[in-house]
Amino acid sequence: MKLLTCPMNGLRNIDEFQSFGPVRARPDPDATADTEWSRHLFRAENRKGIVTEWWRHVPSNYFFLAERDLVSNEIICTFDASELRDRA
Amino acid sequence: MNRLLAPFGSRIDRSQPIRFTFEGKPFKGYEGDSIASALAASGQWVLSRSFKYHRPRGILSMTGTDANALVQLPFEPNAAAERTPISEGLRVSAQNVNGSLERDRDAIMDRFGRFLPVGFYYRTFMGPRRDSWLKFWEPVIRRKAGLGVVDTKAPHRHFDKTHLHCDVLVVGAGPAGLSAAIAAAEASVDVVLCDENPEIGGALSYGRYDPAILSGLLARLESLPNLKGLTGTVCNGWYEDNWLPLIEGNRLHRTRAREVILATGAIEQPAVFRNNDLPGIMLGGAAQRLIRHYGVRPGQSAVVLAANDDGYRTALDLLDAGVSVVELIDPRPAGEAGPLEAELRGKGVAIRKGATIEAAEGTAGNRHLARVRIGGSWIACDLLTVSIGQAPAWQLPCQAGGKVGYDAAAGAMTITLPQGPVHLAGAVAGSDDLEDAIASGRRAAAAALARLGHAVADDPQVTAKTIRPRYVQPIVADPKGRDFVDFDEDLQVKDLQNATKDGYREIELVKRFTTVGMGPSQGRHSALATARIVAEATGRTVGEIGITTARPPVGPETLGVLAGHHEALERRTAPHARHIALNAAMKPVGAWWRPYYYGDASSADESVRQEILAVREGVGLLDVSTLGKLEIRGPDAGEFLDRLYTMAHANQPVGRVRYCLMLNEMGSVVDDGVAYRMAEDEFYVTATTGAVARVYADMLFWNAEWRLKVDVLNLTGAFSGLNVTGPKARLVLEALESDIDFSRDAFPYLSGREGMVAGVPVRVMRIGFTGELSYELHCPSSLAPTLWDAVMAAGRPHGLRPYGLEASRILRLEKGHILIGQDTDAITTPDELGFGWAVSKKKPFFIGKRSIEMRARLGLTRKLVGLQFPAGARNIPGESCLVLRGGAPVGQITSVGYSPSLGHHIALAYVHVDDQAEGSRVTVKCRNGELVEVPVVAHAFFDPTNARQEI
Amino acid sequence: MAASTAMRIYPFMPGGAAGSTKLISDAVVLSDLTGRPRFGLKGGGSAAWLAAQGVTLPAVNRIGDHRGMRVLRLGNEDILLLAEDAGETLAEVKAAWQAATAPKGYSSWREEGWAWMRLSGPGLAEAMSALCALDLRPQKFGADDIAQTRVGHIEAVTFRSPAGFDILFDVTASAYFARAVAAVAGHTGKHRG
Repeated sequence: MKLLTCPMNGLRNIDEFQSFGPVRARPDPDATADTEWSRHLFRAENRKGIVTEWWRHVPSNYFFLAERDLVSNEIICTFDASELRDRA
Repeated sequence: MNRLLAPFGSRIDRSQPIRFTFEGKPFKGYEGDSIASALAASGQWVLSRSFKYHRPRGILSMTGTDANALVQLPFEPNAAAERTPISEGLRVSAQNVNGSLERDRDAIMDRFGRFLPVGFYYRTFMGPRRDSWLKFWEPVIRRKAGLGVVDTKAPHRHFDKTHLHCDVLVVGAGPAGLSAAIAAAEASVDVVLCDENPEIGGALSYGRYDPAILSGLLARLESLPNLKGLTGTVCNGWYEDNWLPLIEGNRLHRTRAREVILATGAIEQPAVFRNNDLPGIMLGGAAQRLIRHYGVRPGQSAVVLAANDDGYRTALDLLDAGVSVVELIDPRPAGEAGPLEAELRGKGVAIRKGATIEAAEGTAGNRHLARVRIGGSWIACDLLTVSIGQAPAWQLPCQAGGKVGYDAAAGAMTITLPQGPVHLAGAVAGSDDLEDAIASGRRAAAAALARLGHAVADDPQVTAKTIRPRYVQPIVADPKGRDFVDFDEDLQVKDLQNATKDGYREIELVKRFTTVGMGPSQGRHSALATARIVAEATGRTVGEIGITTARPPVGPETLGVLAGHHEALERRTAPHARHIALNAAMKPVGAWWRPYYYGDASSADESVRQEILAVREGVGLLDVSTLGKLEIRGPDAGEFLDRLYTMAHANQPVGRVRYCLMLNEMGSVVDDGVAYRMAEDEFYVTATTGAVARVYADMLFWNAEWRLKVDVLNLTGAFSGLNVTGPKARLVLEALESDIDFSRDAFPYLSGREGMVAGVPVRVMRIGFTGELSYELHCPSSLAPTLWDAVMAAGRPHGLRPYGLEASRILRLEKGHILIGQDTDAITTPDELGFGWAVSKKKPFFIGKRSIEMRARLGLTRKLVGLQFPAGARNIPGESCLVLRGGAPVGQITSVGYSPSLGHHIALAYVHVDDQAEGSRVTVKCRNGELVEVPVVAHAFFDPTNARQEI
Repeated sequence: MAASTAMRIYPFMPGGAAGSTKLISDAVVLSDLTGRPRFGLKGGGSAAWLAAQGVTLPAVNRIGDHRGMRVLRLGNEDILLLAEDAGETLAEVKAAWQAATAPKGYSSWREEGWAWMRLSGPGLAEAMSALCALDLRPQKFGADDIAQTRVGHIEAVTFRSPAGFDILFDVTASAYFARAVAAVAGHTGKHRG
């Protein structure tokens, strides 16, 4: 079983976590055409490369972010959500 | 008897005789014997019949990894006779036999072999009809094929799972693994050393080595308290981040190691020649294991095929065991004689160099080896030991990312692992002598320790040795066949050659077409030979061909080991014991157990009817503690709910309760409940029983993005809920000691109050699912049993009745109240439910808003309505029966039940949007296929003006 | 809510939801502390209010001490006070909190939502290895460490107490948990090796 380092709880088996999918830009619902909105809802890009994802540590209900390589499945780093804004 | 005297037989206890049967015949063995060794000791060499040709088969490797020695036990199919210990009275029988092992009626298949080429099934059983394979051929072939039989009435066995952590896990306790484990443990890290065999030592326990080497290593091992040895333990896979299942009997150790050293050894390879599968032909290691582990003489008169030192040692062992060695055949060209050769010659053994075994012949029915042909002449013998080469045990290394290659110069299969937390040691890494294996173990330990941050001194003894070139047997198809490459699947050289001629040139395709490597040994004895045959036939190198992907598990594993012991999760509400005392029929709802009705099963329908009538005419009490309960607290609590739910909550007055409806981003209804504003910054929100875990997680997720100033708390277990409902509900509550004014004016419908009831702090909401006057009392769970007792006592003069889930289901159906998940599906919009009133038109944003607006523009296609069946209707459709329009499905029944209040059946159903009006008639297809016409009811079935809940 | 005078019934008490479930007391001993005093705060303002009361707050997932109470920091703004033998001190803190004006955090209701049980006995280590996937050996998991993880397949908070391991988990699963521990205890010590 894969390991994942929770920024709050440390190294744990990945079955203690729940994935909430990649961090996505949320289009302004009032300024987006129907077709674009449908793409936002139903289309996942799944491109090769590194993606930033939301994860939840289920026992502590802590949400954080992880950078993962979609090709090698390597988790490059994990960090608290407050850092996302610092990086942006 | 083929039994040898001690010191041979390290595993057996001669003072403990054990009786068992094989194929109905009595046999004797000793404590510590395996089934195969005990049978061999009594001269029973045939253990099974082969898969396709039903040829007699016996011991090949003594490692328990091939189909030759799989047997049937009373409660276990496919037991490895070479590894399974005998026990008193054990009944063992042969597998894949039509009739008996001795007289197998399907042995005739051996003569019709030429009519069974590879791909025979694919080519032959195609017709005459499209479904002929499924309906006719497959059942026929299944009866002929397959190995053991599962006894579905086998007694239960206890399995359990546990967890194991270590700094270094060493798999394989042979010389390399032992030295690796000792070296690592001497650096004070936590080490686990596991081996599938019952003893530590690997080849040192059965090979011809100085016993002082093993005893020396064991003494060092025993002095290290941080080294845990697990014998009889199979490491059955490598998974990401060094997660390995160690199976110790009925126990599974889910193991996490920081570093792993694989010292899994090498697998001796059989030689390919005609009739190479006869009982009496075995690998050199099998003969040595029989002699040293079990004290069993493997034959009387032996020919030894030896292309390496191990073969020479086997010959010396055979002599020590009293076997007459007729000749040693060494296919390598003559060269300088080593000490082993000299020793053998000194004992009078004839050694022939540059020759090989060309064919073998069996006794009647091929039941045992009779003679072998060498250089054109036949030599009589009843034992042929084969030591012509080995392949590294690649399964675990490949699962850990290792790549298989082939060193043409050395004539050896190689494995390379990327730099990382997995290391190879010993024969699996190419070591081919003892000294090198021990050094290789120390090298692997040093590499692991360095990664763990330990300073490792350079060890002058641990430089890798260059590998000596090895003998490579040429593989040439015998014109008469029966030169087996894969014993499990009865595949011969020409079968594989033919597959390449049919165009299957890649190893993965050859495997699927011929089934090579698909049997129990999973290519252990065939993968290397197959790669060489395919390479030869397609003009490529063995390295280019490679071997098929090795996946976990390494060997077969019992489902019980995977399942372990599992206690079913059960959640109970605080008044659970009250329900039991009232003779409730408890039913599981997810993990929860809830009263279905109160009373005996014999009068279930009457109990439900009485419970419904009590609520409609008097007062009822329902334990609603399984409801999801959430507290949303903080300055942004109102804004938070505004974004999550469709109604307006930011402007909701304190003390008021509002319905809340949750959509997903797609605009589909996912949950509902009520929100009671207890304070400016505090809401008490309910969610449906089944959805609260997800709703809670989603709330936290959204707020991880939004970062509003709110805290979300899941109070589902902390608080319990009791719903007091019915026209007399107010009388009951007013009879309780309380500081809350329950009167209609002071406590109107859809409002909430905090206070004390019967000494219990409560949150009371005037809401309800039944359509009657209802007060829902929520309190801390430790006080719920006391509150339950108080309500029951106060209700007694008013005829209060506790009611269960079935009555609740009917009561809400009479009101047309929906259950999320039952009356909604993945695409239900609020409009389809007629819930436009519950969707704020003023809020700038809430989840799903954009999507329901877009979906509204696409137009409504269906609508949830009530259906009212005439009294006495006989054919009532069940839930999920289709609603048809012009013969095409347009919707389905979502809930149905008999309403005692109305005296007929009622249902909720999705119908075509044009049929939503009161009085429309829709067609429903019943379970029996009959179509019935039912009128639509556009309002609640019972009390359509909803007057009763607001009294 | 005002303090209650009504009788509190916890799951393993007579009449409780798990009242008919026996707690094992063999090589593995499971004891129930659910009725013992504790009080938790969660949400914005919790940490600051407790600090203002003189409580020294430990780091997240560590345990501190305050006047005989164990102070469990489960999150930045999620703190639980356990007062196994310091009920009066706890009552003082609770009373002060109830009387205080916001911001002061919000009650986390852990005393109602979580069962509090203790695992001890000679078979403790073996039982915990079966119940929990974490490495809880003393050299890896200290006296003041907290693990928010799974124990017996359900979400739980576990930490060491002088007698063994304390486990906090969903109170509604009390009967299940007692059975799961009993099943694990039935396997401990009986397996070869």
